[in-house]
Amino acid sequence: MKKTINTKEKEKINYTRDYRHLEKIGILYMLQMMILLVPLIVVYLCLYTKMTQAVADFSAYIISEVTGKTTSLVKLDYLPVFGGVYCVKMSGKSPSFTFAIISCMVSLILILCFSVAKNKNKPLMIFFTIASWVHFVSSLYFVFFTRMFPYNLNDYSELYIKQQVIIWMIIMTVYVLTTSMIPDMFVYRVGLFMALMILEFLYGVVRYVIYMVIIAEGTYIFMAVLFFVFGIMFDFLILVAVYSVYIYVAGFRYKNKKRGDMWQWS
Amino acid sequence: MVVKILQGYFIFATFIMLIYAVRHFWFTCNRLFYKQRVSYRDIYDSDLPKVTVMIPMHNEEAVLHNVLDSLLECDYDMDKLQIIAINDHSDDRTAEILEEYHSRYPVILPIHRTEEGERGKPVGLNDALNMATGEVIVVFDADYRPSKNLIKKLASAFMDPKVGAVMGRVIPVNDKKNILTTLLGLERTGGYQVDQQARYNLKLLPQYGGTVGGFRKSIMLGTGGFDTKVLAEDTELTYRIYCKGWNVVYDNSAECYEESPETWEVRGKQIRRWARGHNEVLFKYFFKFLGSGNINFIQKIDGTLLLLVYAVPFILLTSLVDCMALFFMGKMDLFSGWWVILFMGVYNTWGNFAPYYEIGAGAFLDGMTNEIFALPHLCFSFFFYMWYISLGFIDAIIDRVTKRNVKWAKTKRFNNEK
Repeated sequence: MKKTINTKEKEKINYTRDYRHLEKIGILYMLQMMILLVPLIVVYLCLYTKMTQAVADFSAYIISEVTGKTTSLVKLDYLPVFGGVYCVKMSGKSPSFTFAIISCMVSLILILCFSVAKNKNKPLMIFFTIASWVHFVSSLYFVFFTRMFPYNLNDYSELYIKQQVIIWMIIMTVYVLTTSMIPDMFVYRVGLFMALMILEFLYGVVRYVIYMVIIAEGTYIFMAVLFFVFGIMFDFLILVAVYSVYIYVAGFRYKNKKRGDMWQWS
Repeated sequence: MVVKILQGYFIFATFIMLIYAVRHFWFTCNRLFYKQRVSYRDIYDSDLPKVTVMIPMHNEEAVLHNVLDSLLECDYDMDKLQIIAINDHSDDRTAEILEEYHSRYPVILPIHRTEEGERGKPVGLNDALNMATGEVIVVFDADYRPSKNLIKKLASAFMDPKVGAVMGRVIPVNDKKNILTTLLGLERTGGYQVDQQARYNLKLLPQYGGTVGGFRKSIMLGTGGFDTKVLAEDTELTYRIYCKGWNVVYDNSAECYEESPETWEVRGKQIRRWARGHNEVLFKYFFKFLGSGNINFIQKIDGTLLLLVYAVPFILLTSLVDCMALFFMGKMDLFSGWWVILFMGVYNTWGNFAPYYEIGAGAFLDGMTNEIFALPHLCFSFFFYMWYISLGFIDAIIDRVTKRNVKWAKTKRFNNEK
């Protein structure tokens, strides 16, 4: 007699996850993507001088509007062969002794508050505690060694733009490398790539303007905390956020029949 | 001279981070694209060994029924199973509940450690080792919920005479409770589904994790039992086994559910204790492991990186201080180059435990969906880990210098299923 199987018990049988993997050809796919990245990088390297010129132009206009100070553009040498970078040139100022002392005290109070705060989000509290420590050290430096501070606003501006050029390139590379680990969806991945780079570009410009204004108006005392704590980390935050979207969609696609057949178990 | 030293240290930290980045990238590719090494599940019909399950407990009245009931329902031959529940100085109803279980199920044997003296998991396990009748010892924490066939899967690995220990996969049961438990679920996925499995595939050093795993009793008794001065008895056992020429195997299909910490405070204490214990093992085994003739060159590299894993956040923290010193000294030439980007890039993909793409790959393989959106939060938990692990590292150094006795501290249980 034919045995009947009750198929109502489980409407969907999920693929067992223990040892599943993708085809080995995925490695080749990754290599192909990296090769495709090379011309993109070359184009970027040829364009970055013009990009920084546009950034500096726009930033100089906004900064002078906000601060009322005179700004100008300066071209500096950078990578050989590919050309220099443009950045905003303007004057900054060191903090007064009183401002440095007040800044010291405020940092200490913040350290204390963030350390003892019974906030549920402890990682954020630790992040702000570290930021306050960095600012405290910076304030202390300006209390005792104001005249020895080795930078001015132009140095900071130059450093920012030079780093941003490299960051954009690294973000491109890391994005392509990590998303091509999960093959498929080329067009979708390109779309997300464009979105990521637009976000990154806008973020880089807005941050540049804000930081320049803060340092120009609030003095060099803020340079360290902006550089160390609120700097590059957030570029990578955007990268990981976009990567999450990619993996989320890829996860759904590999659950359905079409992509689900791509799984290997041996 | 000072500047050169500071710059040298910065380059050293960058180099360390680069090594870990390459290591994790290699693991992720291996797990995603290559044939997976399965465990010993095809030999179920063999004559499996007698197993003693040990469950250390300290004030576990809220959760102990989960693990005991799960074990009583397991498909292992009950004639070949012994369950020892180690009641370590509990002052709640743990002892009473265990006696109730014992009266109904003689297979459960309680040990009540109430006398004055040393406390803690390793001491309790040593006491239980002397009473164990099984050839294989399997350890669970009291908040774990083993699946029905878990003991069978773990025990079958010991049919291979070269296997000294086996490790199963830990999965948080409360991963949807809050952002912390979701992050811990993601970390576990990266750590087990990708990292442990890749190390097993590549014949490197899968780690015995102290729970959801087993080891041969003869190895433990033959090498003096658990070291009661070490907080990370699992890591210590891993290196002891490898140095003695045995293997540790990982079984990705041997799943067991655990309760993750639900508050950052509890997680902070837990990770600090792990860092302290792990670094004690680093100090104890670093040279012994490198000098061992039972481990090949590649395994030595992987084992050393594994030993250093709880020291790296301290290196990162000190290199941040180092960067600040260079900044105020006006040595920005280093920072405008590529080194800083490399360093910050790797450091900002968040740490040496599991970078975001490794966790993303694990989540993808596990079929996770909404949890993925918690990934960017790892950015801030990185600072949290850097802080608590650095504290644990300092604890371990003080332990080493002062020879003080370490005190075991239990992780708080939450038990949402009363």
